[in-house]
Amino acid sequence: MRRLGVGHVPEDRQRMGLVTSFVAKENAILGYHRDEAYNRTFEMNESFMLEECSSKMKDYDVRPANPELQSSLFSGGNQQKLVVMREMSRNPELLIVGQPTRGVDIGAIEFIHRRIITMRDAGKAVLLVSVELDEILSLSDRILVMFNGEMMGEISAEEADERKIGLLMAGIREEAA
Amino acid sequence: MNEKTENLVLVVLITTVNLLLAFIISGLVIWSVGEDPWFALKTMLYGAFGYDEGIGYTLYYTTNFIFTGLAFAVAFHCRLFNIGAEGQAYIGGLGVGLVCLWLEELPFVVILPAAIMASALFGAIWGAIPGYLQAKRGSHVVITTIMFNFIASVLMVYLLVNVLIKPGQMSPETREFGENGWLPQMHELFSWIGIQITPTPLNLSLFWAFICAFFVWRYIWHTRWGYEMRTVGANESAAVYAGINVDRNIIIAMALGGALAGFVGINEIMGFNHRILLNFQFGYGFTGIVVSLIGRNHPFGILLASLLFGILYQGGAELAFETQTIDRHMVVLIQGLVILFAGALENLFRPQLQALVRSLFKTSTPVAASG
Amino acid sequence: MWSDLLLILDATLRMAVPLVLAAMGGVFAERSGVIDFGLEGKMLGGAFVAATVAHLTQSAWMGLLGAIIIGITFSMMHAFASVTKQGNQVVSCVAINIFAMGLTTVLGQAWFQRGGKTPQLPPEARFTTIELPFAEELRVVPVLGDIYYELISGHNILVYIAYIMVPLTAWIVFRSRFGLRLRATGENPLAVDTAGISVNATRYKALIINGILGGMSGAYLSTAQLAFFVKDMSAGKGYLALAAMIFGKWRPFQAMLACLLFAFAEAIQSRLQGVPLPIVGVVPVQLIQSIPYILTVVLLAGFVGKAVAPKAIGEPFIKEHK
Repeated sequence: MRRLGVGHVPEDRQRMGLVTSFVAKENAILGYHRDEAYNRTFEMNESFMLEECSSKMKDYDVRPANPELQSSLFSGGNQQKLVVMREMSRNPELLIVGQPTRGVDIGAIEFIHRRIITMRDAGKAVLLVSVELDEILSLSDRILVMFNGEMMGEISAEEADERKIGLLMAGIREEAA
Repeated sequence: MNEKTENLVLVVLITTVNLLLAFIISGLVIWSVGEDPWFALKTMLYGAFGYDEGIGYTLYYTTNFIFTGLAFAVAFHCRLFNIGAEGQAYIGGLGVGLVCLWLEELPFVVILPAAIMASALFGAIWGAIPGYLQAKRGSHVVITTIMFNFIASVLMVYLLVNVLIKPGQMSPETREFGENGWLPQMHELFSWIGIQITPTPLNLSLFWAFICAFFVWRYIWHTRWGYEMRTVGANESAAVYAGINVDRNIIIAMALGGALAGFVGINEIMGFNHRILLNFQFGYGFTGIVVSLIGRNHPFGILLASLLFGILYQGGAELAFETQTIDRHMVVLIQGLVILFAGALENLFRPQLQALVRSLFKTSTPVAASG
Repeated sequence: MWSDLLLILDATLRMAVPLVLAAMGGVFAERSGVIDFGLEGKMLGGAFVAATVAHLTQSAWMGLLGAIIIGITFSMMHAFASVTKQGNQVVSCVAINIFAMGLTTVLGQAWFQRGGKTPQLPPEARFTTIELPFAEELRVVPVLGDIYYELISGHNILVYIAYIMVPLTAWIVFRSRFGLRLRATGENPLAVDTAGISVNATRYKALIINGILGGMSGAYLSTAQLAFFVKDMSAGKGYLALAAMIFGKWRPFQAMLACLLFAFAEAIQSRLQGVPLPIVGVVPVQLIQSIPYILTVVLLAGFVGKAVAPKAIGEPFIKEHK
């Protein structure tokens, strides 16, 4: 999947997105660790890992920008930025983002939202999965609502408001309403 | 950088305190059976360091513990408890012995690599099967490896009693193999350069153990394979997310652990006994667990911890020789206590020691900054 | 043939006792969410203490009491390390097993100096067989009389205790209020904590019962099955019991059946030795000896699908301090 240009920011960064006992530069390549750039014949190219991670951390405003710091010592927002950085910096054609701002401070939320918009503007596909209505309304072009495992309907961003989405979320289809 | 040294100091401090606790309780046991703990300590240290023969034996045991310690550590980085180094070492020794018996006509330079490969292969198979069962069938690796220890021991009795025994002999051993299959011992090496030391079982395997420790260190922390293994060990769902094959890593980790344990056979069979015999591996596998845990599963720590247990083993033998009441198994008891304090209870004094280290570093940081 | 079968089954029943007792202990610990590989150590410690105390006091019951005390001591060490201090449970178990191995050998050598063996106990200091009423008289009744005489009567008290423990354990775990808490603690400690019940206290209670049963299984080895302790006499039985419990899916009756299967494999060992079998001929004694171990591996590898452990097993419960 990754080789086909799909990036994935998983919902649960601590359980899936990161290995919290690893240092930042190790987590920055999770899932891409077999890429040629990071490997020599036997050992990994650690100076390159360090360099790349360091510059990306500045780019994505991960604080502190220390590639050698253990991931569990970063704040929730910065951990999330680390995951977003790993998945977005590879310029995927399709990015799947799950709950990107759960348990994240306001500054980081804004930063992550801006990055998602930038990707959209660059013509990439972004699939955002979220329970935050504000987040969906402010970021999405098309909104699909699911209820009880079923697709309830599709709304475009212009005609969407909280009431319409709310009805769909409660399992009431448009025709019925 | 400061954080790293702070952590290192903390780890060393915690380990030392926990070791001391284990030793104090062991001292109480010695005292309770009517011996003087202080005399016991002196006897042990003298036995381990007091004369060149003692040092030879100490390092000889150290060699075994490096192998079994690494065997536990590699699997542990994949969060697997390889309690089976005992059996893996036993079967590894079988491999070494068979090679030496079959190829004894060939020159040493051919036999040595063949024996190393055989010990690794035999040990790896004995480790990989429990690994496979854990990965594919979910049978807990602790129980399976213990069972494989028992099976190995029964299998070896069968082979030595019925198949490999030297004809016309009572004790279940093979015949001694030809000198081409003997790994040079240290006293021979020293005598080539003109220094005479007392003959001990210590042999070239010690250097092979150092080489293994070096490669394990590079493998675990600096290759993509080690990276995958550590990911599986630290967070399995993250490993799945990252597209890592969890089952395969479990099997590989166990096979590598088995191979490392198998090298005990090189030290014991090729380096000293020069024949296959019963229970040559006795207790080394379990000591490997202790060694790895105190060594924080890091090859460098394992080297130090192996030396410590080499001292305890050789010193304990001296002590058992000197006193009637204390058995060689005193070392086993100490091991149990060390695992308890340095392994399971490692957090016992962590808060206090952490506070201590913090305060130490707080006071020293300004000095370092100004200097 | 009929009497052979009865004798094998009789031996099976007796040999299963330490396994059954330990497996029931395992059920309590693991149902509460605490891994217990330490049964081996408790068994070994119990066996040593029972033999020693019985030798000193000339009373099997005092020996049993001593075994229970050492069993509880070991399980409290485990509880302190893994429940209170949240250490690694498997490491703690391994520590207890190795510690027990060392301690029993060192003390055995220091106190008795017979290479790790304790003195032979006279019959008064052992658990001896109990003839149930009318066993002799009822023998004339075909089949049932034999079964009553050979299988049901003529065991020592620990055998009866062990088999009573199975329905008792089942009742406690599945029917009593404590059992409900126990299972909830093993499955979802957070919910238990929210309900105002202490997770750690429940685990401690479970481990006390576990220690009692583990110690008893050891006492059976040295004061009922044999009349002395020899070093390493548990020989992996603690692990077999645990495997039986896992194979029995953490349920008392199924675990007992698995224990009986192991014991049956052990009971036919002495029968198979040196006897030529059809097709294979004389089976080497070592192969026969390894049957329980191979059986364990095969059973755990599971022809019945993966075993599902209590969900919270092996994880210390850490209260959020927010």
